[in-house]
Amino acid sequence: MTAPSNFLNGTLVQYAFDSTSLGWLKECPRKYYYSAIVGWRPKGEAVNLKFGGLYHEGLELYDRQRARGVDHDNAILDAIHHLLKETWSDGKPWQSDHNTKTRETLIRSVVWYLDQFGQDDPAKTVVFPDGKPAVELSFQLNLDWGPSTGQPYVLCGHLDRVVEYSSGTYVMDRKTTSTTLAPSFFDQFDPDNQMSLYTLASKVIYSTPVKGVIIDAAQVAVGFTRFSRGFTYRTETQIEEWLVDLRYWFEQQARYSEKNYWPMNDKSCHKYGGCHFRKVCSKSPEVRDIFLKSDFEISPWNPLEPR
Amino acid sequence: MSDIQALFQKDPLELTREDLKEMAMYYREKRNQFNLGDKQAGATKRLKKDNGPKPSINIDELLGDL
Repeated sequence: MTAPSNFLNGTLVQYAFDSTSLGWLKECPRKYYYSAIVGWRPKGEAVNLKFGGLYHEGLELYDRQRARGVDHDNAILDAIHHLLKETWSDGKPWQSDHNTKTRETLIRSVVWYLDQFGQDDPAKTVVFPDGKPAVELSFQLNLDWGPSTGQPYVLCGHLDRVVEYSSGTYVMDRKTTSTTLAPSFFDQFDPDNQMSLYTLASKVIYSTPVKGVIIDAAQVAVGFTRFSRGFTYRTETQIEEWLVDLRYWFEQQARYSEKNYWPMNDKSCHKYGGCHFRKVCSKSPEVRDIFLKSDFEISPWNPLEPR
Repeated sequence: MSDIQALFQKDPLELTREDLKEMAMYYREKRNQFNLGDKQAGATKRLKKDNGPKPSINIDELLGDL
């Protein structure tokens, strides 16, 4: 089934946002234009998305099996089998050209994570009254204002897991990274757009008093996968403030789209490890298209696309 | 080709529960080694095509006239 457009009909006004597209807008309007409106993605990014998606799938399957009463060891085997099948096509295993994101490091990362956090994890998956585990939850949250009459803004996304931990409820978000997991790694999530959105969404949609987000990060290297767990908290008033700010960001987006002009935030280019459009934006405007076409490919981003 | 490499080359639909257990055991062992300080314990080498035995070279023969 094709998802509806996340833009108002015949305009560049985006009404449905996920944390990724909202993040682009907050970082730099030009980056937002290239990524969310045109859909440029760096060539080679696909392997990172594929690896991350499969890693989540493996862990999700494990969580579901555990919630169904399958024991730890058998749930791991089910996850391994699922991933091996998902990375096999036309009679051949997936051959990645990435040095750390491969079929073997995927299985290694899932087994190592589950052996560290699976069996005796103090974070327990919430089970809804209907018996379903709170795992891989997609949400679409209509706000009480919108860019046009009859069309509210919509916040959407996917929560990996909702858990009970030390007498509190948290969203759990699993991340893969090549960055070393020093304690400062977790500083980037406070404040952070995605974590605030996830806290808000779980509070509203699942009527749960969520304290914040537990981030289970996996550093995937050639010789190992290392894990670290971090916490980020949000109070009621922080979430309210985030929502007020959101109104201003959406107004900005509407203003840029009205003029179809997306100014470059040239103080953002070198942050977050360096924007991948830096090499494009540093060129003279008349030749940028050549660089975009050579290093990027178009793959539209639609937050309304079901996972 | 090692056992683990052979398992990765096998059609997943033909893998038995025992094969999957072997795979899990392999990675658990690697994790133990990593936890004991071997920082490359979990390294996975890319599978290479087996081109058969390498030709033997007699160094004395090659360098005989030098």
